[in-house]
Amino acid sequence: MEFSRKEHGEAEVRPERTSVLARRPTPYRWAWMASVLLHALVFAAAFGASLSSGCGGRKEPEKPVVAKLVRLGTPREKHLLPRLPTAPPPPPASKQAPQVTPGKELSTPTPPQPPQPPKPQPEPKPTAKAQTPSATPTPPAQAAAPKSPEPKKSELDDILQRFAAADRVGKAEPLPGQPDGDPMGDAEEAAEGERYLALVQKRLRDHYVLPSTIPEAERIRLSAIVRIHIERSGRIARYEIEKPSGNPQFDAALEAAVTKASPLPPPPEHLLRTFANGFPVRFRY
Amino acid sequence: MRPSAMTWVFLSVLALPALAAGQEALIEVSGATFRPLPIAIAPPIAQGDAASPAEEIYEALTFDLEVSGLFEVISRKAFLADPREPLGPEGIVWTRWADVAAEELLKFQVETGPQGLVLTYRLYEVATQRQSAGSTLEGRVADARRLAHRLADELVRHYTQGPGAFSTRIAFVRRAKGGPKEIWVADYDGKNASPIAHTRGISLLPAWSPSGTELAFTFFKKSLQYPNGHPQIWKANLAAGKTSALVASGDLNTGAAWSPDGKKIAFTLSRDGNPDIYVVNADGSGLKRLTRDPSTESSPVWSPDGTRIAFVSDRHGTPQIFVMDADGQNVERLTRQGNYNQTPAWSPRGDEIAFTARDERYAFDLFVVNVETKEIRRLTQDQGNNQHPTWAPNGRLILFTSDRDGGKALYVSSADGRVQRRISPRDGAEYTDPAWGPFPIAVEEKR
Repeated sequence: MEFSRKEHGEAEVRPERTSVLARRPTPYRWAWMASVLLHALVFAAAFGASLSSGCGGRKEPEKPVVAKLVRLGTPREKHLLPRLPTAPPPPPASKQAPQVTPGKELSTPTPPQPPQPPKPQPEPKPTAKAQTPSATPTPPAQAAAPKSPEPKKSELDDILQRFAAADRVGKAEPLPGQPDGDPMGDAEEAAEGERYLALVQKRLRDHYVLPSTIPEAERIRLSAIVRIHIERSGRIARYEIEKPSGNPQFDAALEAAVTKASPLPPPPEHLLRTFANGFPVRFRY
Repeated sequence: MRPSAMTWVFLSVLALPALAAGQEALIEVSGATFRPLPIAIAPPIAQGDAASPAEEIYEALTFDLEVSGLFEVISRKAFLADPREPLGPEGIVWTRWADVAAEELLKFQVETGPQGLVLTYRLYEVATQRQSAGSTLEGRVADARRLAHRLADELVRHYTQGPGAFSTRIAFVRRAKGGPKEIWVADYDGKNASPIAHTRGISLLPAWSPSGTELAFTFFKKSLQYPNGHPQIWKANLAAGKTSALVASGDLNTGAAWSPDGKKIAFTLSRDGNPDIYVVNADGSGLKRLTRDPSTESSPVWSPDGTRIAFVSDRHGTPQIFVMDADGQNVERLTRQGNYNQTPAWSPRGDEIAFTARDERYAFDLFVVNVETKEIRRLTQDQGNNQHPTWAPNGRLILFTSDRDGGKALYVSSADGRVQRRISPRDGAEYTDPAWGPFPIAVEEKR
């Protein structure tokens, strides 16, 4: 009898210690339930409020909005016709040439240097004599010579020519913007939001190049989401195509754009945690 | 163990912060730059005595593909491949083509057959080393260039699934030094040019019938009453080589435009010095007035579906582009920028209207306005005066007049304005008033 009683007593004590969730006499259990529910409700309400008003003390749950950075400059008058951007075109062309053909030096035999007229090198005389019959057996091939009879230092020549070319095309003129714009901005009208995301957007757009042979009818449908993971420095560590477009040409172009856009500008401190799992980018035509 | 209600409550509370983490900013990137597709056209393989037509084809094909804006034709000088490389695919050294950054490779061979020329081409993707297209075309030796245009059309269709416009014809006004202005027709690249049946006096503003068999134009007919010529609308039948008067009322009839169904012609008619838009049946009957305004209305053009007409009016002080229904109702102003907008040309796709405008520097340039959004984009800038745009029937090219190189000459441009090439010869003559003809009928039937 004693033995069995003891056993029984032990068995009664044990469950109370083992688990918080274990069954209890009814009054406690309902108190618990009510308490947890109440907490959950309060928490949810507070969370909801912070989400909707955006003024909760916590930074994390706020969804960052991509800003639209307005260009720094003066606005173009509304009644005027638009102008094409006239940023000096030669540099990007010569920069891109090697990018298109990575690695091999063989592959870039035509750096765009057509404006260089063939000029006799051994000609130190600075004076512009009308005719120098001795030293000019070569140029007649392309010679638009009468314009530039004085061969000077090649560097200065080069600069002058570039100026002349720029003059012909039209001087690089400032694009329209707003007086309170952002030096890095590229829009004519601003929208509030996270500046960093706007910078990332701009950088990606700068490298977003599609082959013009994609048919117009298909362009409208094209859309893909790429997740980009960046390091503190802004370097793109890796990316994956989360939602491919289904068009291999388009997807390949996106991969090229992301690769070329690296490194992105380094992210600000307050966004590091948000970007822990990378961030999605949707590309559309 | 069955999870109790309390466990669910716990789990859902735990899930709340996870929901918060799902609030990610989605960066939207759009507005891609379109890059022309780098294509290499291998030196032609000429069999027998086809060497010179083969070169002609090569030259015309290069021009077509470049001006299309779709391709970047890699310079032949850059080629590293053996010029005697076969048509392939066997024997092609792919690395040589990849090294010049070619993504596509076109190889073709020309030989003389009983019908004239036989052109065989093969199109390859360099990266995959696969043949993606290939066919054989035949034509007369004299039509070597047109063979190239047909090949270019096939390539455009291969890549864009839409028709090319390289086999179409154009009309324009040519004025030889000291001579009168005459209507000429030519291939789209300015070759094979010839005047239409002669009419003595000044002729302007040709307009194609939708079938491509007739031209309407403005002709200054001299008479005792009008010693300097009375502007009338005339019609020329190209096949028959005959011209005849269509409308000769009022003091001025000019700027004819054929409706897309070919049944009507809109034009400008002036009585008592007040030009307005009128419509007449293609046989000259049923004259009907569309605009009634004391200001000047001119330069009507039809929308491709024939329901609307764009025109120029200075009713608000300066010439601007307007749109109205084909019966003259619902007039709407389209342009609000610039103070001298004229010569509208409705795009074949219907969404845009190209026009000439004078900018604040007093230069005439080409612009395009979107009919729905009214947004204006610019095509030409800082290259002389550019005027009078006309669209290729596939909407991918624009033909216009420019004085960038001295006298007025014809230039063809990709629709985005990126590539612009002169097509009229340097013969001292002036070239103006271009009008791009429709697709050849054979193509129309095929579509």
